[in-house]
Amino acid sequence: MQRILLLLTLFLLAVALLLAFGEARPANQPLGKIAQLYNEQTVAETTSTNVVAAINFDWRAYDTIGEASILLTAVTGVTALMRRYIERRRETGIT
Amino acid sequence: MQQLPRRRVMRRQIERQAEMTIIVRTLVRGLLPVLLIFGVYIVTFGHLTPGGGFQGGMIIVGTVMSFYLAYGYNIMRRFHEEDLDLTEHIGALAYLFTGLLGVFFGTLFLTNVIRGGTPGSLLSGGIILVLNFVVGLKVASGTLLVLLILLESLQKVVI
Repeated sequence: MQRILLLLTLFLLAVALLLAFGEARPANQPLGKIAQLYNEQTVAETTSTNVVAAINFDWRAYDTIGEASILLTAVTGVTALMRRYIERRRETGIT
Repeated sequence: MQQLPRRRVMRRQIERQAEMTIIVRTLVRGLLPVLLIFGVYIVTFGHLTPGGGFQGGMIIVGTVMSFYLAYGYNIMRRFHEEDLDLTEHIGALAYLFTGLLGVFFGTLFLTNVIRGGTPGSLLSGGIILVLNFVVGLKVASGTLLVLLILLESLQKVVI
């Protein structure tokens, strides 16, 4: 009973929050300001026709350094933890 | 470390993995150029069509993975982990130096300074093209290195 009341309260709270802040955008302006800027300026600024690639590697290239360094860290961690198997790989030779 | 008798050390080898049937092996061998070209295409056309360095690199790794599935672990011994390690680090350093190019030209880090070419042609996009290529190299070699080491840890050693 208590659980049902809790769920009901959370549901009502969610509905209230959606009614308060979750308004749909007006029909004449379906994109946010920054999305509109990306759509309009990408070809002129970066000479690339793929907006996603332009965001990943030009507008937000600094984020992609982080993504790439995650991979580098993962590889470093695996090679550090699995050192035993790397040595085994070396000493069993190449066919 | 316990010293093994010399005769047994000499005979130490990785257990041979079972291959799949000749149908699968022939199919994979025939598909190799198609899959590799598709991966390289996804990398190099990343600034024009959907795709990019991460996705294309994973397609290249998937090609090698299909070879492992068809031929067993012994085919993976053709890759040396030192080479893959070197390629991965070259990729990471090339990314940073491409970013420093913006500093050399007097603007901010990772600014697109070498843009040029008509939009829609292959040689356009400036550093987007370069960074896609670099990230593709890095993702392919790094993931392949992790794959090689994890597959090695699954092998049984026969003494």
